[in-house]
Amino acid sequence: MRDSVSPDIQAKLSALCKQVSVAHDLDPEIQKELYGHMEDKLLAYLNREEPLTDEDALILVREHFGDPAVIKDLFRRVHSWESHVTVARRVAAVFIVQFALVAAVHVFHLAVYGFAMVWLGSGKESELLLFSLRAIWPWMTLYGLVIVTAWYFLRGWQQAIERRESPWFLRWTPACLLGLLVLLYFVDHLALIVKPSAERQLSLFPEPLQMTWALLAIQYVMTAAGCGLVLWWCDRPPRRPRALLYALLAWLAAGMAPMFLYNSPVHLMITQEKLPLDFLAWGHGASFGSFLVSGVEWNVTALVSLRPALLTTLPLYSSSFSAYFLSLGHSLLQLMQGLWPGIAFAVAYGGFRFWQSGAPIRLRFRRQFTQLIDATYVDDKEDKGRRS
Amino acid sequence: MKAQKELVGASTGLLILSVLAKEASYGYQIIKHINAEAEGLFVWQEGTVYPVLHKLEKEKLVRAQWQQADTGRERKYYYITAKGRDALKAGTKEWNAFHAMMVRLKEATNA
Repeated sequence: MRDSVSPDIQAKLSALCKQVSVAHDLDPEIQKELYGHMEDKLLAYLNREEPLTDEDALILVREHFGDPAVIKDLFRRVHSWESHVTVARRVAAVFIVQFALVAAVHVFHLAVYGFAMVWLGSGKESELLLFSLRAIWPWMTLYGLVIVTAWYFLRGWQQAIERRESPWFLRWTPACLLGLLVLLYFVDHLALIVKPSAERQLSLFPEPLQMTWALLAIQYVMTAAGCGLVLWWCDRPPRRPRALLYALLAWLAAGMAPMFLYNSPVHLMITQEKLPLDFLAWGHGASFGSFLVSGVEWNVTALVSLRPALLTTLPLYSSSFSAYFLSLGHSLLQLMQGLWPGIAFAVAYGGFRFWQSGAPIRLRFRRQFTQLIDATYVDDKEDKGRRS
Repeated sequence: MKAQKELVGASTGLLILSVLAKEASYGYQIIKHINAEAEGLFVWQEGTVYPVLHKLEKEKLVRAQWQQADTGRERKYYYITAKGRDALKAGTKEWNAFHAMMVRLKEATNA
């Protein structure tokens, strides 16, 4: 007959009890009481005083089996080639979707812009034709090059995988990838700030063309790092946090439409010379490049546009305070029009997915606890001690 | 047959008071006692009983005291108070009234 537990088990029980922290002054007593319960239960099991039910046996099996996430990782190491092939396919899918979106977004943007010019009777139809010739074909050429380059990189990664080597972005830890993304993001901005090109302006080419072109290498690295992060995030057990990713993507995607509505009239006004040619450059900052999908460019640009407006636009573009405030106003408009509808949509969509995915486990627990405090019974859905 | 959770939830405090009305006891014993009496009708999630005990203590329906259990280990014993006995009486009366109503309704349905 056992009447005590080993010091090792005592320490483990204490650690378990310490997870219940309520209030600093109350904790020792509460933990002592809970410890007593667990000790009694454990000894009762050891002394065969507590019957072992099917559910109890299942808990033991689970515990002895080990953490499925760890086992999955071990399996992946054993079957690394097969799992990396899957990963490579998914990376390829991310790339294809991303570039398809980028192409679709900008072609649509050009169409809206052209339609606005004709519909509003700007009398610049000939300019529209010229614009199309100048802008759309370079765009298509660029995307062709982008896809070829993407294929080149993907092929390189695939070959590395075939040699049983991991692509670099799968070897890096998520923290490193995130750090790299942040670093490159600032390099991306810095490069454009230090060397603002006249070609970036509307008169010659649509704005993101030059950025994507000039900073292609950086953006590839950013994309790869982003892919690595997304894959890590999606594979991270438990899978509930995926709902946050859905919310983020929904937010980014939803920000695109309002930006069209805002940008097209602005472009039109620039064409009609009601606004200065470099208006878009004021406070606009750089696009975020090929982070995940093109929507990122619009929303993140809107989000960060205050920063370049405040820190860099004044010395670079503005010689007077009025220009500075105009730039600031532009940024604020972007924020309002590009961000808020996106946030509203994301809250609705993300909330829905969040609820669907079972993510609000803590909320559910809180609700259960409230019921409990109201002297009601806690949901026994996951009652592991249920007796048969 | 499993009792509905709402039904069990509404009676948790009352069940604890019923056990304590017979004799002072501590958490593990109370749970064991109730689970045995329930005969599979329901099973409490053990850890969740303690906050209810603390709530009853706050409402002064029970009082707690650390003392040595039969096993020789120190445990927090709960004693029912006079206020607790009154609450138990009132609660039992309510349950009986509810039960009587259910019986009447059942009889009316059968008639």
